[in-house]
Amino acid sequence: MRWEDFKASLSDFWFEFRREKSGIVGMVILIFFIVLAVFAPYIAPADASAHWRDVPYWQNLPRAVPPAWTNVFSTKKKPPHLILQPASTDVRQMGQITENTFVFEYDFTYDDYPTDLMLLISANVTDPAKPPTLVLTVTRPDGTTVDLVSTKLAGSGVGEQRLLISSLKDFKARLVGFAREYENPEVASTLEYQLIDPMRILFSEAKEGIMTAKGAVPLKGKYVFTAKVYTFNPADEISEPKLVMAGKVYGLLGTDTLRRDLFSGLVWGTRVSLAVGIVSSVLTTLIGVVYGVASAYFGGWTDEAMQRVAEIVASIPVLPLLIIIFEFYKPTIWPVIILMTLFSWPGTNKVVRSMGFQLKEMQYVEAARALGAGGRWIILRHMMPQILPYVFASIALGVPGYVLLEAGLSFLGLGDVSRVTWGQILHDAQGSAAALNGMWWWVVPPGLAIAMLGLSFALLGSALNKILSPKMRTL
Amino acid sequence: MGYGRYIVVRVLNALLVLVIAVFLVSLIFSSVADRELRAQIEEQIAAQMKNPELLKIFSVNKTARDIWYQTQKEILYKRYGLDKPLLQRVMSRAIDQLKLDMGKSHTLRSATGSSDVSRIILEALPRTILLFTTATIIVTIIGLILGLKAAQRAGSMLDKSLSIFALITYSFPMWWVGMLAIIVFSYYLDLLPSGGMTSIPPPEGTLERVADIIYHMILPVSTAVLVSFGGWAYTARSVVLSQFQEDYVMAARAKGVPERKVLYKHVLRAAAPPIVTMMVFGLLGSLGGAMISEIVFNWPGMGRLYWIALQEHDVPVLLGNTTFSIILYLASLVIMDLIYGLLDPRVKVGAQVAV
Amino acid sequence: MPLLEVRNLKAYYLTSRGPVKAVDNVSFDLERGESLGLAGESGCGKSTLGFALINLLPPPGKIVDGSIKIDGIEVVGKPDEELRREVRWKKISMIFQGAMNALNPVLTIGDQLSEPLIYHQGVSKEEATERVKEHLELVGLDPDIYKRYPHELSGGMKQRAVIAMALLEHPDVIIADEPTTALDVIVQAQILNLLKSLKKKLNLSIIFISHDLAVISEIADRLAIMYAGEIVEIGPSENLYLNPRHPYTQKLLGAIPRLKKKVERLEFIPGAPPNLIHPPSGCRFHPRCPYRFEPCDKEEPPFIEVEPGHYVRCHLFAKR
Ligand SMILES: Nc1ncnc2c1ncn2[C@@H]1O[C@H](COP(=O)(O)OP(=O)(O)O)[C@@H](O)[C@H]1O
Ligand code: SF4
Ligand SMILES: [Mg+2]
Repeated sequence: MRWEDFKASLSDFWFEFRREKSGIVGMVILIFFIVLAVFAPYIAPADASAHWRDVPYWQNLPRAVPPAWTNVFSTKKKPPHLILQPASTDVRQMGQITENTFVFEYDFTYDDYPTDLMLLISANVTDPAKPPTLVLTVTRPDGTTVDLVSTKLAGSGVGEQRLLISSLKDFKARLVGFAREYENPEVASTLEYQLIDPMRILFSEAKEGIMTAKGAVPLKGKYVFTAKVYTFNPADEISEPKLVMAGKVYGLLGTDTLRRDLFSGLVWGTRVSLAVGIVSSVLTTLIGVVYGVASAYFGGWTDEAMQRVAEIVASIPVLPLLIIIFEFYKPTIWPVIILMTLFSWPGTNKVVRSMGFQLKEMQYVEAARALGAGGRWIILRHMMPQILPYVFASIALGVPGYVLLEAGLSFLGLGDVSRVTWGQILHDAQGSAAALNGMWWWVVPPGLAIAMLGLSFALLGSALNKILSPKMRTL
Repeated sequence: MGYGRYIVVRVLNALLVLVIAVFLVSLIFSSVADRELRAQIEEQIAAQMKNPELLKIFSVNKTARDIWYQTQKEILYKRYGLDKPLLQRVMSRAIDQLKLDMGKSHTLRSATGSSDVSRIILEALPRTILLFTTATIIVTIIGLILGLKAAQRAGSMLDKSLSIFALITYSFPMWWVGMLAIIVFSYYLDLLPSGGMTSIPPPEGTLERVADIIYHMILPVSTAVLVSFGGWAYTARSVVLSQFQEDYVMAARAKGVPERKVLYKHVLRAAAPPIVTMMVFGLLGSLGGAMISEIVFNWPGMGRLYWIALQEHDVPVLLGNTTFSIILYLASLVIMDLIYGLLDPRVKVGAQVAV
Repeated sequence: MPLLEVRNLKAYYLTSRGPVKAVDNVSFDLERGESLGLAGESGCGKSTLGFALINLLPPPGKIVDGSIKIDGIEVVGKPDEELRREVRWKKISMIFQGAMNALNPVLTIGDQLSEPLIYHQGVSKEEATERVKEHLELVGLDPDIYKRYPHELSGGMKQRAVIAMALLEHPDVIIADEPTTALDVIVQAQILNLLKSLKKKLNLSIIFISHDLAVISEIADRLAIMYAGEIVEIGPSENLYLNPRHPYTQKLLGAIPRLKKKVERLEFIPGAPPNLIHPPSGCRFHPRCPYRFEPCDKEEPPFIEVEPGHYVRCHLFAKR
């Protein structure tokens, strides 16, 4: 085949490909994933993948909440995740003591309650023995004021501190105390303390029922939180206070039980799946092609022996072996890819070998041999261009298998732990019984992504096959 | 070649692959385990040397310390078999595995209370087989019927939807579909149990127990069927269709064979061997998916054993389970080979007679 | 009345890229006891013509126009069920190309050969077996072969079995599509001899298709040359062989040793064998014809009788 012919058949191919709707659909989906993978650092936080297993990194997000857009389908509006900046700041010096006052305003207009209340604050403390003290009070829309907590900040170090206020004992005790004034005492005495949600009390109307899930009515309006931070050394510095209202919904895909943003995980996971899928499939196909062509070219005993080896490799069960390798060697992504290809090439080899045999019989290869051309020249010059169309279809059709295999291994908790993959997200979901608890936003997107990425290649491959196979038959 | 010889060759081939695969597993394991074992031994000796009486002696006599250290090391190496060459250790480990002498689990017990790895796995194995064969039989039946119908009406709505369905499910992780099924049917609709093989406690009476197990199988089996049947039907369809393009079909029609007979006598009989061949790959591929699905459905088979062993880093169970998985896989392969041989006269009857 | 009368037959493959005009406006007759050789380079529509004659074009092939009369009965447009019961194998049968695929690999020879007898004539299984054995002997095979599977036979044996199959119901017309192509030279000669002797013995009427003129000339009483879906020359074998008129036939005959290579090479140049979706205008051979002149690429040449029974489709012979 001459270069011009190759070019002609390529443009011919493009003409036919454009008429295959399934191929175009596959192409569009694939481009979508490629964009996600390439622009991952811009679409999601750039360090999200590296910090996926870094639990403190995610602590500012709400825990295990569905995506924000679920509000659209629900009549009960759930509070989104909000980070409040102080509406006003005031500093008073009282001798050695400094009083920093930060006022936060929160417009609560929802039918459900935030999951957590957190304070983020940067404190530069000079004397660890004298940590700053925080006093947080709230004035509710109904005019009542509740002292929420008074607690010490961490005494040592510089930088941002995070106080999960809603899980402090004090916080709950004071709110329960507040609620008891309004709740029917009989009800209040029967309630199990464990099951009382302080956040619910904080944002409910002060009347009977405030302590129970059924009775509580959200009190809508403006809540004013006043945080007073006292430092005991004039050199101490307090800055960048933020009040976090951890929402009942978050972001595009919600969060998991470790408060990780699932959208970031999904976006970054694209890279691994794409890379593993494509590179493995290309490698397998190449190995298979080279092996098959060589086998066909040499023929005879060499061929016989090579095919026996291929048959044995083909019947080695891949998954159990990979599980063992992964468990004991804990490889990173590139060895993962190579390992997966090691056992999968015999299929391609078989097809290519039989095509090679057909081509070999054809006169022009014979003629080239008669003219004294070297073996390698014959193969490259004559066999490869004929096999090439098959190669493309075979690569595309091989990708879903590898995407699935990688996902399966990740799901088992194996595979590269230095970055996030879709399978790992599902592994964690399984470990946290996400399906049993109906946390669909944790389960559906990663699996769907695996399926869609696989589908895109399956569509492409079958379109290629459809276009190329009648040509193969005329060989 | 004859069927008898064919069987022997296929079984021998499977045994060869088994030996190679188990050897590989032992090799992989040994190379890592030895390193860890050596480190452990060093630690153990170091701990022993902290003995004050020994320390007193060693502070006086330095060579005594070295000699003590050496002998101690030799004793421990011998005890753990580290004094033999790697290949020999790999071999003996592989042979132990093949003899199903797989050691003891340090986290798991069988129902009878044994911590013997092979006991534990032999308990899980039938459960995996039960789930997998049930699903396979249902998938095969649905797949063949649908595939045949689609091939008969190539280009029809049925055919097109089948192709699309097969393409879509081709890339679905079975275990993920299982998770979805649990969300829908257990969590939201509360129709079916989310997992396990029996209710807790299991009901009295044999019949009730069987019914209980079937009830627990509905979700996992339906998941496997849903994910697999499209691909199988599509495979069957393609093979049947390609048979329709063979010359002998035209020959049969030309001979005046009625269309029904062309399909059921000629095409189907000829399509059977290649369908079996194609399905071997699908079957073995879905074995892995099915084992992972067990985890999702908390089905107490080999897949879930993998999950537990991986979580607990229970190495003997992991190795044993791998050996058994390989055996299960190769046994399925041999069974498919046997079926193939029955269907293809080229195997059953043997080679060409002399002209 | 001729035994087989074909008039203006058009058989197209209706593909998504347009109709492939594999057989276009073909007319010819076949007398009882006569053998007609059909030759032309591969892809010119020979097999398509054969399949059209037994009305079994592989999809998306279709007879779009024309008439085929066998023994006076029009078969074009006849319902499939009637064709199956009355025409196929009884009036017209086929010896398939290569023999390798015409036999179902999973059924025994006997099973496959007795089918037409069972389904057509309602013969009992035993009687069918007897008749199959007779015919196996007729083509020089051991009758015991009836219980063998195809893969147990050599290529030559399979080809003989296929011939026996075609003869079973003593059809009026037999189409033999490249019956010797896949065989080695010695077996090829044996099969040709068998066909020749059978023709004499049974007074068969055969349409013998091959891309190899040397093979055809041994057996054919008359020769038809096809090019790009059309018959370009037809006439008594000897006349045509010794005195070819059409430039294509001349090229085909004059260059037999050289030609083989040439044809093979042409196949690898895309577009070289005429594209049957958009065949060349006027005379379809004109892009490759050394004699082409002014009307060739515009007007379709008429069929001209150059001597009794010898017709040529070429402008060179048009009376002006
Ligand atoms: N199923 C089909 N669909 C479309 N085109 C076909 C089909 N079968 C044959 N053809 C085309 O019809 C033409 C004639 O084919 P055929 O009759 O097999 O030629 P021959 O037997 O002379 O080699 C060729 O150009 C071939 O490409
Ligand atoms: S009609 Fe013209 S082009 Fe065609 S064969 Fe005759 S001379 Fe050549
Ligand atoms: Mg032909």
